[in-house]
Amino acid sequence: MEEKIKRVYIPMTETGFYILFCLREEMHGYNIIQKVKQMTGGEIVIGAGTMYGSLSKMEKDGLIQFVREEEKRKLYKITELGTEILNIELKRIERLYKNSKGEMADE
Amino acid sequence: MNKNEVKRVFRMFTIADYDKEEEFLREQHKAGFKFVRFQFPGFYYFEACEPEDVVYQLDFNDNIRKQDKADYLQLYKDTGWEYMFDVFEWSYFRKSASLEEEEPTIFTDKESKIELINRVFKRRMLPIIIAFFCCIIPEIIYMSHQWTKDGSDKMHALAFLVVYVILFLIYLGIFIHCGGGLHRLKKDYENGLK
Repeated sequence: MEEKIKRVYIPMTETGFYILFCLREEMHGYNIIQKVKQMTGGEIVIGAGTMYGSLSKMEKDGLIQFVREEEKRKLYKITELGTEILNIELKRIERLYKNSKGEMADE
Repeated sequence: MNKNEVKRVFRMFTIADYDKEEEFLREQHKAGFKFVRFQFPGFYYFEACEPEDVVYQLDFNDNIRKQDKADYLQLYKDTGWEYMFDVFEWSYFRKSASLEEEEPTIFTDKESKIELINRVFKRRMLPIIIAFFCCIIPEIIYMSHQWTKDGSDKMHALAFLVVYVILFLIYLGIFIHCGGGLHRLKKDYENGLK
């Protein structure tokens, strides 16, 4: 994996994480906003500007790819590179969580 | 003015003042004047309306291709923003604040606010910085050389020199105002002050 991409994306911003996490399934920007709002009990509502900018950047960096268009809305899905990045981040968060509970990481 | 327009206000906002412009439009709407049209270089046209707290937001969309514009606008529409128009690559949106629990905003994290500043800087400041160093500075050096050289048209050289020095001062003013303003905004975003 490109080291540069890794440096840019890890650790991830909360917005970035949720977007990538949601895109394990095919979705458009507004879908993601609604899903994240629901997942976080209304705590995180991603703004349109932030969503559009994040999707463009992630697409440019090859973390997600455009799949198709549905009534003017572009649908995206995570790529292999994106999955790799997401997994690294998930491990990091898991370790953080375990450590915060006073447990040591497995490895 | 068109027949429905009741007010015209002249205001100049630079690229470093977009947040002030948003605030200005919001205040106008609160006072019962809804923004309908902009005319270069700084005329804002308003129509009378019911006073309402409406949030105005500007997005700088230099990197959006024509074929992507529909998707871009759809996302704003889906999230409840009314798209007005574009002025020099800035898109104007508005949304009533009265129905929302939280203050409506199009940029919800620090990173995307900073990203916006970086894009504005790259697209608007960089070209003038390049023009400054590649055109104005060399011309000043060249013309002052011509002016002091024997046997050249001194008046001609002096006239150009004066023009370039005035341009130099205007540029300097722009650098200080816009560069400083963008820098301050960026710092505020980084420190979570805005």
